[in-house]
Amino acid sequence: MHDWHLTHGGVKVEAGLWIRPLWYSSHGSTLSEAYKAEMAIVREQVGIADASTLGKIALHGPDAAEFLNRVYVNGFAKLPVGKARYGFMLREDGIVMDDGTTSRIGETEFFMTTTTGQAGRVMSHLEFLLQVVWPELRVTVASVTDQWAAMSLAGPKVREVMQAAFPAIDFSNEAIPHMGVHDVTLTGALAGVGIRIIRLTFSGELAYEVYAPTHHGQLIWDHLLQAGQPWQLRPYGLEALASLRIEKGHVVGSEMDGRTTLDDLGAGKMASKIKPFWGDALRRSEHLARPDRPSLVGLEPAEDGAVPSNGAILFFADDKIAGHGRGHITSTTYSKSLGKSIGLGLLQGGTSRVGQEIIAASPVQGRQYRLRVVDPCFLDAEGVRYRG
Amino acid sequence: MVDASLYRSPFEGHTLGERPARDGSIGVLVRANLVPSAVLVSTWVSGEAPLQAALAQLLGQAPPGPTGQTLATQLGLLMRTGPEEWLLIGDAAGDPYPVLRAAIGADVGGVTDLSHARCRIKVQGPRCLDTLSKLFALDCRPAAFPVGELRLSGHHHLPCSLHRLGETEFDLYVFTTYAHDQLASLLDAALEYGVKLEGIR
Repeated sequence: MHDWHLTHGGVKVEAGLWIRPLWYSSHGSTLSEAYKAEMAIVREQVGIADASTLGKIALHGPDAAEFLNRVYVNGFAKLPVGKARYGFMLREDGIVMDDGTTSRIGETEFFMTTTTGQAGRVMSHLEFLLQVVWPELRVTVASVTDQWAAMSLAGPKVREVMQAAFPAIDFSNEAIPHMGVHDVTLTGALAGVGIRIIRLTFSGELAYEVYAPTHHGQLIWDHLLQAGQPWQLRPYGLEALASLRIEKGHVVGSEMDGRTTLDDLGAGKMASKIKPFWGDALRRSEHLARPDRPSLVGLEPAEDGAVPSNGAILFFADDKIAGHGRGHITSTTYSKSLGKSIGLGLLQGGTSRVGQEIIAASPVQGRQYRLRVVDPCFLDAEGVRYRG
Repeated sequence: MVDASLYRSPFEGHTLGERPARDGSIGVLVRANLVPSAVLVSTWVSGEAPLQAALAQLLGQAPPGPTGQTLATQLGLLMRTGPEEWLLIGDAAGDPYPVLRAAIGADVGGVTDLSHARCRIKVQGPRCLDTLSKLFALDCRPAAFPVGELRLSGHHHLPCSLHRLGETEFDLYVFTTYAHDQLASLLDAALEYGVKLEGIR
């Protein structure tokens, strides 16, 4: 699909080992203009993004469920066939390594997705664990990143688009619920093409990921765009994707920066208390369990002209503005839905400071401004939108 | 079977034709194709013997033992690609994936379809070795890399498996995502020897 992006106004950006469309010039003459338009496409209509760079790993074997149960912080042993689950995995030292979803395709078969940037590292990690730590487990892992093209469709009109594209499939909540997985071999003009549909969301909207064998990827992409014409299905790029996730408070590499723990990211509750998992012992170590570690918060302007900027150092209101401060801003965007600039950051005290005003200082830019600490989920905290 | 018209090749965009060397000769011939099927058969640390037995029963002969050895079977070319794993490249119309899945139980090993994940670049000609030596840190002397064997290598951090078909003839198995650019690198490396891109699919 790479060429399609280039011939349809996709402006390239390097993402790990890949080149991806950051935004589409058909949606604006500048990045700032275009990504806001693309956010609106997803929030108000329906958009499609190329997600082929996600790491993808196939797991087979009688002990695959047990293996995943040890790798992820949350439980996977009882994941039903036909369902996906979101999970975090840790490094041995208790720091978060990566997040992603894993789907149970069969009793002994799973399909894992990883972040684009950590795909190789996660694959090596799984191989290490199987070869060195748990060689008794009967599990194989194989990278299938190149086997599957992936596209993410999201927005309030997405169900209509999917139904039009694949009329033989029932997309009702009952047939494909949130985190449902559906493998199907297509008929008609696309006869024989086997696709995988997973209903999960990154943007917070009702969304489906469609996986197609790579050599059929462009075909399925074109098919979806054509089927989505009545609902003005349009592509969105990496910048809009990143901004949509900030509105939802979802973490990515900016937050999972090789220094943060589950608790730092506000995900400590996901960790199972009834089963051991890789990294569990050291995540409880004194330093990583310190209550004054910076943890995830949402940030919004507390004064006119305050625009959060990435990397700015955070201080409490009565602090002297010097040194390393109390944390930093990790991600920022302008939220079209909220009509203001917002950000995510890591701040001592985390969400216990919601409502407080703090100071952001950028020594490089020579700026200081006041921000208000808010919950990291800015939009639809109840999840009404994605439940459809 | 999926209709052939529904496939797109990562090699699209390359132009067939030749660029002779200064003396007018063509030293390297290249073809780049999708593979009809590629299937990874693998198992766990303790599963090697049962998987070998299952493969032997299916194929009527023992699968290749040491990494790098290959075997022509009725299902296709079976290559030993590493500890506890084999890659089968099928060239016939039939799909070996369901056959392997049926023959190898879940308690014996994993069978993973990689037909869309691998592409093949065929390289041959009198200056083939000169070209490959620019890209791969491999000892291609016959004693180190005999005809019929496979070597795992890579260039520009991208993996590539080289199957030696003759003294100056190789099949390169590359990851689909980077196949287009790997072909470009190969053609560029062969330019000074005279190169002809004979076919893409």
